[in-house]
Amino acid sequence: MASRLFCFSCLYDFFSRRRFLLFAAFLTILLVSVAALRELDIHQDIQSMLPDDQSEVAEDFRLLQHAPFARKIIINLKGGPAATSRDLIETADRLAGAMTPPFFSRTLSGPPVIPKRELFSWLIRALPNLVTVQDMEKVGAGIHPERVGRQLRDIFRRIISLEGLASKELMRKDPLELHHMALEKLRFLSPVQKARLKNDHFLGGPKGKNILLMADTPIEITDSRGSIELLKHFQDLARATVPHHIKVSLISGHQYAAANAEAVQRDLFIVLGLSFLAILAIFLLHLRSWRALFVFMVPLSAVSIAAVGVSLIYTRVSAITIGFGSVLLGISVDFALHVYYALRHRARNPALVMAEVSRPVLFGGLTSMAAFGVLLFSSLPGQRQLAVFSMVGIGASLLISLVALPHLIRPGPGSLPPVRSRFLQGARLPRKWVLCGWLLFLGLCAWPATCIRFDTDLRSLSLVPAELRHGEEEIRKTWGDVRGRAVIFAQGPNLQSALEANDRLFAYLSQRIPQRQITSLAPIFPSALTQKINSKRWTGFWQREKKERLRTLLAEGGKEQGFSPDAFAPFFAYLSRPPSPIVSADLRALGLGELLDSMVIENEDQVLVLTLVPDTPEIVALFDHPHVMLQGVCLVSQTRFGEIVGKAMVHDFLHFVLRASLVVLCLLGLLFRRPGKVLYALVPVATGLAFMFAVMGLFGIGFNLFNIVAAILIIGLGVDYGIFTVCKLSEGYDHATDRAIFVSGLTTLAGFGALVLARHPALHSIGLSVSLGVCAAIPSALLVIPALYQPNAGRNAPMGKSRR
Amino acid sequence: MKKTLLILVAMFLPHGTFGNALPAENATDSKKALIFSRISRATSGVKTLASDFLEEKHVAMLQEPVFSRGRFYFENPDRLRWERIEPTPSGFAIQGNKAKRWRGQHGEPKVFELHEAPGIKSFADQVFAWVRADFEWLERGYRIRVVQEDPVVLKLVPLSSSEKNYLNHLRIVFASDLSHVRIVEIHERDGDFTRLRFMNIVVNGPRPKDLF
Repeated sequence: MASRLFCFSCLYDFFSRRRFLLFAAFLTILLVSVAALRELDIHQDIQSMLPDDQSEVAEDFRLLQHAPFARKIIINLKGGPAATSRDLIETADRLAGAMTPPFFSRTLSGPPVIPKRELFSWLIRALPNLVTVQDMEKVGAGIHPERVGRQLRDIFRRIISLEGLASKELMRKDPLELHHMALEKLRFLSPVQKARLKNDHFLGGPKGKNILLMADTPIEITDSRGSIELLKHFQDLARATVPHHIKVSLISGHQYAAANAEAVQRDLFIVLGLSFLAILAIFLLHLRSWRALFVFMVPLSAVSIAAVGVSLIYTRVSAITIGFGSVLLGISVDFALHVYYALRHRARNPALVMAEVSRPVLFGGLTSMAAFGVLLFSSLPGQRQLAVFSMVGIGASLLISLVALPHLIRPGPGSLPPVRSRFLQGARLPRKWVLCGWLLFLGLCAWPATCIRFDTDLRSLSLVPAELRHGEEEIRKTWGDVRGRAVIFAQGPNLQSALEANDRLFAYLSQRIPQRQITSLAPIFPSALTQKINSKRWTGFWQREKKERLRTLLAEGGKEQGFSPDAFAPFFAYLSRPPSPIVSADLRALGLGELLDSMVIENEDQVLVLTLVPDTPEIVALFDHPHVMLQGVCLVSQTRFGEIVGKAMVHDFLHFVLRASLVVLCLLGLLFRRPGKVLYALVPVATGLAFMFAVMGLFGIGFNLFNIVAAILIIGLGVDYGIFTVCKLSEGYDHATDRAIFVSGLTTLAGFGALVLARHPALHSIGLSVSLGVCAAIPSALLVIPALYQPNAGRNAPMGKSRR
Repeated sequence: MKKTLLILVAMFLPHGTFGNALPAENATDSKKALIFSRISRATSGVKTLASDFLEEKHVAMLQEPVFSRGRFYFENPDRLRWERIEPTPSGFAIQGNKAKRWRGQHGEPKVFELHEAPGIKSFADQVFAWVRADFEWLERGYRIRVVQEDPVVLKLVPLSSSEKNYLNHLRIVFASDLSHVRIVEIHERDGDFTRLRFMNIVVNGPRPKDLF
């Protein structure tokens, strides 16, 4: 006796007398949904695809946002052979002047301009707090008759030149030019590695033919629509201000956001258009009835309801959810197709047909919902939203297919077009051949499937146009890796403890990598503790003996040069004064406030001090093991972030697949209550996944974040095919199930196959992997399950009707 | 044509940024305008100019005043050479946007673009402003006061805070017939000062080769 769900049969009977009520209710829901779609607040940002939990990935991502260049727009002006550095500087100033709000909040063409007189005075004052052991050794070496004599001759030359007018006071205060040591330390604040300063502008590249601009914008890099407008505005400005012989390159996260948003829009237009035409062609070929239009309407209605459903739960609906979700809901047409074929196959009582077909349809839908349901546990809000969207959509599709659609389809014999395919007509290949072929196929898939690699590079999920890659490469060559440097955070409950951690970090790094590779506050703004130690070192050095020796050298050498006896009295007064500590207000007064703010982040309960280093495996490896000098220090880099994301991806994949498999197994157990049948139903899943992994492994296609969704989709789709086939075989009724599976498989392929043509890597990737899985799942459902199926595997198989 | 020596004054105006123009002082404006007008007339028609100079520096850091000797060349519109001969040979030359500087008698000249040396550029800009008798431009950087009319003595007080840090004022003494500048004095805040005397002026004379 076939298992039936009589509730749908009853529902059919109930509504067959109240069709107006049913149609009115559905139409109302549909119209309300369509109307609500207009109010939908769709956001094109990729924020939803970034983790929002307390995981290491999420924490690292949040920290990465603090990197000084993460939100900046970097602009390179490259002069042609005819361009002089003056042209470049004038053009840069003109362009910077035009980059105003609302698109740009600030544009810099060089480091903060500090009047030399003020800067040098401050450096002399600050020096005692900054000197290291090596610095004092250099000072000691300078207290030598020959060196002092040379220095005095230079001072004399400068005094009698025009230069002497402005710098005479400095020469009296610092005849040994000790402030140069402090000046050298300012280099550690430069985030641009290969720049040299010219007229307070960053110049670089061969012959100084490049100039660098850095701009801030209030537009978030995750805001793709805003990014498109920003870039268009910049192009207009560049056209108006930059002459033809100067080439403009720009890199920023906004370019990626804009390029990807435009690619997704273009892809969706092509993909949806192509898949629509392909599905229409499949319907015309296989259904050939105007009533098939109702089947076609089911997924469209489900998408509308799902979109509105998501908007009721989430205030911000991601365009990615709607875009991917719409494609994913292509599977929802499967339920409608099965109902359609079941009703149209033979002239039987529709209520009875619904009782039979509703069970596999319902469980098929439930397994798909359950598979998507595991994504609710994802750390990515976008994946959670996608899960809600798909579950609501599938639920709506099930409801429409099982309750409303039967009243729109007229049952009857001969209403289906003739079948030309041999296996759809019931012809079967010899069982042994099929099984041997299947086992051979699985065996062939096994080896390449083990070669699959996890693609953890987040950039491979985004479209990077060649011109953007080229521009980024050019900027990297000219200026060094401005944006891709690793960021090390020295943390503490207050500024001083964070600065102390930063001092330890700087000392640790200085012993292991060349100092020129480090961008750090530590040399110019050490903690109060380090300043105290340095000051002690300074005052200890200038003990009476050394001071008097220098005084004698300056007096004797000065006399020869014609200096008056008290020419350098201000210097000795300076040496006698106790040093005053450096505080952040000093740096702000000097004009370094903005730089300080970009390197010191003060939160409510924590202060972070940033250090930048090259993102190389060797440097990243320095932070792999705990070290006493690295207490309170955390390194975040693209390389390391990629590794963590990779690990998280593998973890997520295993968990999602495991959870999805468990839920699906439970539902299959509930449906079939026989282990054998459950295993048969899983044949398309196993075959589909094996083929997908094998092809990806064979061709070196990386398994990325979106392939997790694809794998779950294959589980959901494959198990549907399995359920329908096993139900058909075990329960003995014939609802043209094979044809329904075949056609629904074709529609799925039409949807996902079209995605293969997408330019966007994520769309292409999901399209390719699902298409591969479905390609293998359909024949395995239609050929392998019947070949494997043994009538006695299910006790409730009807005698004589169990196999065809 | 010795009165065209006025342009030399500009060479000793220290470089710096300029503030806003001062409001007109009605009482002295007409007198000043008249003198400026005479200077303008005197500077018109100058194509080339050459002069020796003697510089004396009175600096508290040094026991004795330091005396230097040198030579100056100018060619309208944008060429300038300032050359110290004794005691330490050094100098610079400007030609349009290009410039070079040297140190020592046989020192290799270093070529650079003028905007790369803001101090020299500012110096040159002021010289050229004097050649054009562009007092409006000069008054944006200095408050100019006529101290004495016969002979004319001008006092220039800097307006920018950066220049005020070290410069008190400039004093420029003209010949009694206003035909040329005799002395330029640069008075610093700490009391030090520099005095320049110009002599052997040649206006619109032949220019030696390879000067710039």
